[in-house]
Amino acid sequence: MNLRDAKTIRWWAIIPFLLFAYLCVILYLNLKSDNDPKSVPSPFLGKSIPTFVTTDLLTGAAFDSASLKGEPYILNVWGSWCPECAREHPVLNQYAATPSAIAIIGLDHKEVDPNDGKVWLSRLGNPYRFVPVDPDGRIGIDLGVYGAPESYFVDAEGIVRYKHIGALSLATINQKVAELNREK
Amino acid sequence: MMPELGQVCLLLALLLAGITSIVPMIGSYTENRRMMQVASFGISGQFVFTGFAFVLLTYAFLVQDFSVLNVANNSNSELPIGYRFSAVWGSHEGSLMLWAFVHTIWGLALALFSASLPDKLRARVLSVMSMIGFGFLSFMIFTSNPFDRMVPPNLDGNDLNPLLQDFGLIIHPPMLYMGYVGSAVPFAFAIAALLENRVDQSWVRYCRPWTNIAWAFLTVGIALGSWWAYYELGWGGWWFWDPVENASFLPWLVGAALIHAQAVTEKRGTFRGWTLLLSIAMFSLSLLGTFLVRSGVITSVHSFASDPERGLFILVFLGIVTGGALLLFALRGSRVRVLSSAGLMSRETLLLVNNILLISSCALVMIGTLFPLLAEALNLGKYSVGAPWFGKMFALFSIPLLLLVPLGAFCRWNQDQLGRVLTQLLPAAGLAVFATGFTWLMAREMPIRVVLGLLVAFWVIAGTCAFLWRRWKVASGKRYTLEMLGMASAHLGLGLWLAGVVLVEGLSVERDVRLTPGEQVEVGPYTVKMLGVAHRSGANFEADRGRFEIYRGTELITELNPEKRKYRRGEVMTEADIRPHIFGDVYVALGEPLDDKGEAWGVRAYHKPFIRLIWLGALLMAFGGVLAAAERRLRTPVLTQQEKLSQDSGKNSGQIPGAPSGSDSNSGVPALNATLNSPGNA
Repeated sequence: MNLRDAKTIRWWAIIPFLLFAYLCVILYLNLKSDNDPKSVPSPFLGKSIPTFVTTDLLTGAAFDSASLKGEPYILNVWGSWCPECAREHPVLNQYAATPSAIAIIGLDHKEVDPNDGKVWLSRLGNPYRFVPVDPDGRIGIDLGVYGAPESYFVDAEGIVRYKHIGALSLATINQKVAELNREK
Repeated sequence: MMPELGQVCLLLALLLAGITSIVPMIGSYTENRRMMQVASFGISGQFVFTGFAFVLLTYAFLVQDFSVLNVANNSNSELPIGYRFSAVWGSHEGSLMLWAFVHTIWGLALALFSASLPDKLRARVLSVMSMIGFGFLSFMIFTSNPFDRMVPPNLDGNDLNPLLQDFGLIIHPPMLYMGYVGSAVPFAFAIAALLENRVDQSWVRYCRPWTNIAWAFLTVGIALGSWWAYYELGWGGWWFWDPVENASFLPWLVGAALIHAQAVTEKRGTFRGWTLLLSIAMFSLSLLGTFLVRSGVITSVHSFASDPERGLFILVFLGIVTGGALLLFALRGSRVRVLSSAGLMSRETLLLVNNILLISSCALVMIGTLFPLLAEALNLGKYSVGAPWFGKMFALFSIPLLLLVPLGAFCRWNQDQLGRVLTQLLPAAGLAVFATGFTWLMAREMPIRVVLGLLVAFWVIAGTCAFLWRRWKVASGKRYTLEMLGMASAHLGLGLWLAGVVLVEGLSVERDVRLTPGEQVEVGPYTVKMLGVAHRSGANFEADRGRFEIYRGTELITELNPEKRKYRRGEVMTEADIRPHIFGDVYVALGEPLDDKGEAWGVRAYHKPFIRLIWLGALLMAFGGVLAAAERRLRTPVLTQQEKLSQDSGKNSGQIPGAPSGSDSNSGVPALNATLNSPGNA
């Protein structure tokens, strides 16, 4: 039927396939490595976390981040407006319930109405030791937050050791906390 | 209940896609007509169920069912109703839903308009289409279900990304996806032809209109994206060489190459393996684009965690589809050996050069886009490839390509003399030089690269006009076929596009100034006078709204009202206001307030000469694609064509079948050859 059928397969015909296979390997390697191309590493990585003073959502008392020095903690950025935070929240509850858990500080980011935040926490549970508020997002700007949820792992000296963008998993928390403790 | 119903619809569609992938394929090998006939039923069923699921998802957005995670993430009780529609495809899950739905539309169209195809070919093509549908439906259902519930439900939604709350974004993704998914049709044909082990012209003839239409949609989709970026991002740029843009540009370039290669294969019988390869490549690049955009490997629009699991799924899917196709090509496609008798100076050669240049540009854009990934994988560190690199390198290949455009249309098939072609094009060259000189005088100050760019643009336009004029003069009876008019329209579009690009890049005036009410700034021939900034409330945002008067000389032309919007969710958006005009836009965007009283503002005022030509050109290209697709000849039954072919190959065995007479004896082609080839013309 064909006009001309060569008897043999020509070797060059395999080149597109090989190129494609190479491309797949590159893409796979990138997929496996967990560095997010968009995340330029936080400028505070390995440096002190900026201090901030605000009030606590639940108690209304003054909150000074400098008072946290001396113990490692996780600073978790959330908001009741953020569905992904709601998805992450059970993980935080679960971690906070473990006996060896370090403190989690929940920065209530860009909350329009503080009541929303209170209702949200009473509904989903409160894993936080303190809930400093950041209604206008100023603290977020100092920290370099570009979305919620976002979490900073801070060691006892107040140095940021790791920044996580997006929802945390229990495995990530345990691993990063172990690293914090090791560095102590 | 409704979301669950949608879920069931998706599963049924998946089941049907599975059945349609297998049964007609087996039928085509066992010559079982019944089994082959399953194909059109299966395809129609997939359309019905996927379409219904799509409607249900839209319904969930319209009634604001925030118990659906997808709705909660991407909508909001204050979202205006028009944007609730576009919010359907504003998210990852929703855009997959759109992908799957559009895919079934193409499948249905193919099933409806393929009655003239041989049963076996038809069954296989529809079966391959279903395999692709199966892959996408399972990707959606297993990794990114648009109907996932949220427990406990949210009281309100997170709101749609304000960038996407815009008219351009309502229609841009559907157009783009029509193009992406449409490239599955030539892909399916190529696979069916390879499976049949009959890599002849018949499938190409049938396939050409489909490729053209898919490419036309892709063109419109890309143009809309560019237009949107221009007015929505507030920087007045129309193309940023952003990975997401590049991802749509890659299949476009290959599609343009494929359209030309298909013409050669269909008319001359050569380029067969190449056409197969390009058909595979166009769809694979569409998939790759989806992978790059959706896996988070390169960029993610949202700061939500990118999901490696999704990326892996698409990668495996891509591996099976493209890897399988390329392997099949290596085993079967490479055995087609058609020796061309075409001489060095012939339309075949020119189209070969066209293809080489288009594919080189595509490879270049691809390397630039993927280089950061490559560097990452080889531990070379973080890299980003910037727009200047893309611009320079792209020009390197596109300028020779554009220079050759008029030659391609004038050159004869098989054998021609360079001298004859150039002589015929001499008036066009003169016209191009004259037009460029005239513009140079009119504009007074123009950088030399703009002059050279314009010369190329006018050369393309004049060359195309010369082609039309020549046909008018020498042909009697039917002067133009739709195919010729389509080509002319696309090439004119290309010329206009280039003129627009060159003028915008070379002559734009961009002023970034501090203005208080009463002050003014000059941009090009216009004066922008600030009146003041007032406050205004929108449905889901608060805005500072500037009032600017635009003067040309002393004559008041219009008032522009750019806005700085703060959306409820916190994002700040710059809404530029533009006075569009074919000779040049005035573009005003509000920057930041510069004093406490809110009187002084940073203002960006631009004059963008002839920027409309860029999109007008793109529309003409798309129109050309559709026009050529309407060509009558391409709709003549393929069966007779095949019969002729088989007779021919019987007669010609042993000879060099560079140009089987079968295709030439049909209508249309001889007219084209006869006039341009007859020596008496010049």
